[in-house]
Amino acid sequence: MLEEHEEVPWANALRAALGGLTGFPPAFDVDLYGMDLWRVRRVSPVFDWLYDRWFRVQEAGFENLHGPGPRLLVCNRAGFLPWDAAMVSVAAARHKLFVRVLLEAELFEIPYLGLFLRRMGAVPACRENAERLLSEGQDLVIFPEGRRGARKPFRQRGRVGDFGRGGFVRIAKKVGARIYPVAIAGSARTHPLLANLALGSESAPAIPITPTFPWLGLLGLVPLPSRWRIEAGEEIGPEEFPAEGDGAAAAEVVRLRVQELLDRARRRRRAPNGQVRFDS
Amino acid sequence: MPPESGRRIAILGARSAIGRRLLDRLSGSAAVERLVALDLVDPGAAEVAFVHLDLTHPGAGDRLAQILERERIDALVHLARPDDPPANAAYFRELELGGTAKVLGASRRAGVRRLILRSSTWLHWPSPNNPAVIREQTPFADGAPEYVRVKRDADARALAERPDATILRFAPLLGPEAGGLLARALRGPFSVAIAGFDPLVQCLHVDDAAAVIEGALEASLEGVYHVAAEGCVPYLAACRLAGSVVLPLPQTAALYGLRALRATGLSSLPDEAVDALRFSTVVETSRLRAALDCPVRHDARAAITAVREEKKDARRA
Repeated sequence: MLEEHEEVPWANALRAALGGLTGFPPAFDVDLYGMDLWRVRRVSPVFDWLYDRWFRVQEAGFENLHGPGPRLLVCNRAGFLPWDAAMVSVAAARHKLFVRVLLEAELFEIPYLGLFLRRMGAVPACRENAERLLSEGQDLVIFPEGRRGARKPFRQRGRVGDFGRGGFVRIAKKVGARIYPVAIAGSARTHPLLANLALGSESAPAIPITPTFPWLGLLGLVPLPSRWRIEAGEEIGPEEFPAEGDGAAAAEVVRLRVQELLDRARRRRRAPNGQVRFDS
Repeated sequence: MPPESGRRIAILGARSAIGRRLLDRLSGSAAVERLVALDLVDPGAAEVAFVHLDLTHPGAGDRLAQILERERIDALVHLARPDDPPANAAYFRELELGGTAKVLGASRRAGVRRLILRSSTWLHWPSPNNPAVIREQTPFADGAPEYVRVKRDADARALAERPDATILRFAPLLGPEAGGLLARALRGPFSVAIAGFDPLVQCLHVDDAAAVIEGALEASLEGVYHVAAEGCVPYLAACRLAGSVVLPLPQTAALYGLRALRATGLSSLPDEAVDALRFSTVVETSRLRAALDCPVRHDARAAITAVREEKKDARRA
């Protein structure tokens, strides 16, 4: 299966990934958000391999995204490591879209991981960053569930959580960005979350408990090879939002669309034998 | 005060790295009629009147007002606001809060028209909750050490009392004699880093800081302005450019090491200094660039490379 990838400079890709994690050798040329474009290109074979071979992602509906203007891809979040963010970026890249990902800020406080995410182009989610990136004309992927999504128990995997007060809708309106719902099915199975163990002070993040983490140490961070489907929906036009009411009502409109897509994507997620299965 | 007769400028904290450069620039300028340097120590510049003034002295306010009136000063530059974490917190507090209050009172009484205060982008303390690019109006992040909160209070007071004052928030200064956390971190042969973090570093060469103040004296700027060199460099790359060897420490080790240094009196760095090596503070400078034909000559890389040259010169000497 791997023959076609033999020309891929694996050693270089892994070395670049390690450099992104540790910061050595130092990167000189990064943008304002800490992205190192050279490294993003270098590491991409690793993510391509994860996309094709490990998660065996099927993507659908990305042709919907080819409207003009900056795009805001609103996704559901699952799994405490942001594999879903990486896979959406790869899926978008396959459709000639270079997207930046906004992730919950607490991930960037984790040593090595936070640095790697920055180098790969992820940005801590906040209003100012979103506005700035969109007005620069960048396409954004956001996860309005934020850390609540990342820490969703496994039994709630099919449910798209609360989208908050809908700040992203306001920003999109202000900057003139188009909102697209995107559903990611299968990401919750990478790290089936059994519990969040809160230890010590409130500021310390809770420790996620999965069948493999923290029991196997760093090895427990290897995602389980679940089968994914990423489905992009049609644009949510401004006419679909309620004219009155607060942002939460507008956020709920988007959430329902993502939920609808996710239900469909989970039904269509192909089983190993090629058949469509309905129980996932 | 008729401006056609030339400006009459007083510089408080003239012995500082910026102050001395500013004195050099202004003493040669034809537009300046009178230049008064105020500090604890004579900066030793020729053709400049030096007056000894201790801002923490209880009578400093009255004395400053007298000097300003006697010299008929029309622009006051307040540079006596150090960026360094203080060894003596009470002295620092008195210098920042008391000193700024005295400067505000005296300049009001003496009818000084232009007031320029030096401040720092450290006031937006590095925090994971800061936006990637911080504007002047961005609210300050939580988690700043005590001495930064004191500086914030002093700035807020100045803005409330003198809305027409100019507050120049300089990015971490680099260059000969520059103080502050970044200059300290890059100065030695070794630079401490926190393993797994590489924040972006923004900086400003002291020459450019002086040039910006000179420009601000001419232009009419009101309120807060961020001043920084073009571009930013990751910290580990900055260490490399500055020619120092990086010592990556785990966060807890760095924290306990810092506490040990502080307990033995070898360092005055607060615990929060560890955060300065984890998160970036990058500020937007477009407000200044729109108001002023920006005289910043060094970009970030040039300012950091200058540190390396300094080290080489020091080794040779």
